[in-house]
Amino acid sequence: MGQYMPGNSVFHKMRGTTKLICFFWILTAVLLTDSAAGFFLLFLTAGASIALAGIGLRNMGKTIARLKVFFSVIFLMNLFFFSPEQAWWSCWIFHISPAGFEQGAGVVMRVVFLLVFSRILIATTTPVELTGALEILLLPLGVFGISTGELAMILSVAVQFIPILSKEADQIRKAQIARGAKFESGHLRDRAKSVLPVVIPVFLAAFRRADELALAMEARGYRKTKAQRKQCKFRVHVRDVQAVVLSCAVCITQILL
Amino acid sequence: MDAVDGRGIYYSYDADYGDEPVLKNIRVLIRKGEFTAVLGANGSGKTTLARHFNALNDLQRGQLIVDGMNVADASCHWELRRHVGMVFQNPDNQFVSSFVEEDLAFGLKNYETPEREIPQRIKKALAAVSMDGYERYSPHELSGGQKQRIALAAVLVLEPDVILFDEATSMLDPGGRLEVMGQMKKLHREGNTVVMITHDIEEAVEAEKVILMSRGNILACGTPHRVLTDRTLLEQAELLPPFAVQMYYDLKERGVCLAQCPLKREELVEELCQLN
Repeated sequence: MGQYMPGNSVFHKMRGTTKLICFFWILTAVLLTDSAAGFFLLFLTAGASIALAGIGLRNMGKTIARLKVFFSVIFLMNLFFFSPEQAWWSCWIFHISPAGFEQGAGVVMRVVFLLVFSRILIATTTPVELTGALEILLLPLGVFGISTGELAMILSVAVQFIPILSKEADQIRKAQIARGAKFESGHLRDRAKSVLPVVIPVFLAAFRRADELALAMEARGYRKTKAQRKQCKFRVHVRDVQAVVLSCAVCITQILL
Repeated sequence: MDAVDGRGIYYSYDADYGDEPVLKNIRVLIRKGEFTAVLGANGSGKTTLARHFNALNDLQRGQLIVDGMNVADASCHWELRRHVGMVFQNPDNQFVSSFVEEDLAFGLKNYETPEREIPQRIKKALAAVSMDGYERYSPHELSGGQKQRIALAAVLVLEPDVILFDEATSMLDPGGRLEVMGQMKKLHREGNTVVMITHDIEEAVEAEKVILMSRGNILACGTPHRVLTDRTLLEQAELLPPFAVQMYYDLKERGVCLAQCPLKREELVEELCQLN
């Protein structure tokens, strides 16, 4: 779900820093959207971005489909609890109203758009490129004594470990099932209890791995004081400027709509 | 000049709480270009000792000179790590990037290698481990043996003088083990100093010199023939003899005497053929 997809698209060729800036503008636009025209603009932007990134609609569809339960829950929560005014249907604390429907649909669409744009960013940017971009964009925090290089490295390594830890969690889960553990059945409390024997070994494994990785990094000359500055030489390409201007335009249009 | 020259090395993880030291007054000498195996059962202190060679563990007592640098001097630790590379046990825990070339560039960038040199150095390191063309692969997509070869390339890219393998084959399947062992032998043939930390006696057989450790002490140091054919010594180290040595003693108990104690399987076959 959150992995880089090698490719040769315009997005792949763009600098990580540019993509992060564009992502910031688009994120603002998504959060500001509250009209049908605004959502239509986001729809067009997302469509064009998916096409330019060469990710494929099916792939994106799969990413969204994986979170269908989450989307259903947030839609239903908004639908039933948002507003009792002019309700189509009411029962005890539950009300279905046009405003609730509108709110639920709006929140789901915003989350879907956020997911789509995040997916485009992650699928077209390598973790190291992302780390470099974050490092540059967080540089002003250095004024407050925050080591941006380290912060970026922590984020990059954390992303790197997600698939490994998820594989490890799956192995531990299967080992527990082989010893008679039940994860799928029982009450919510029992199910929550059964998760603990998986969570604890995963955490322990994560600490062990982090410890070994720290040693391996130190052995390869990584120093806290010498943060890597890989992309500091800023060579701006025309496509980078175009992308920033376009994403900024989407954001401004969204404010005006 | 010696690659490693240490004496009186002592180390305890929690000396303040009176824990038993992991290393007790160790004397170690490794010559340049040697292929040395540091052999011992789990908890014998072999990894702790190896981590002193590139200053990953602080030297608490004693004296240690590695590649002409004094390990006690903290100011030379960073430079020391460029001279002494280390391949760890689990390849998955050594990668910092999702691309082979970026992972190899990590060490080079830490040592401020000029950008124009980086692609060439990466290419050379990958060629050295026979992984040419794998630049754009994700390390996590590769087999265990390939991952460990990439981890080795990430070390070789810094052109170290001493290469430490800390149980680098223990998590691999037989094919992966052969790949990594082959790399070690190749590096040794090319004149590098190779130090292999292992608890697998069949791997130690391949080395030029064996340092046998037990409970924080060095029990013996010498050629594999001298150390690994001594059953009493191996018993003290809580290890079983290599297959060929075990066979030699089993045959001897049954009245079949071979001319000399073989160490490797091929030597055993040779000795057995000579019986006819």
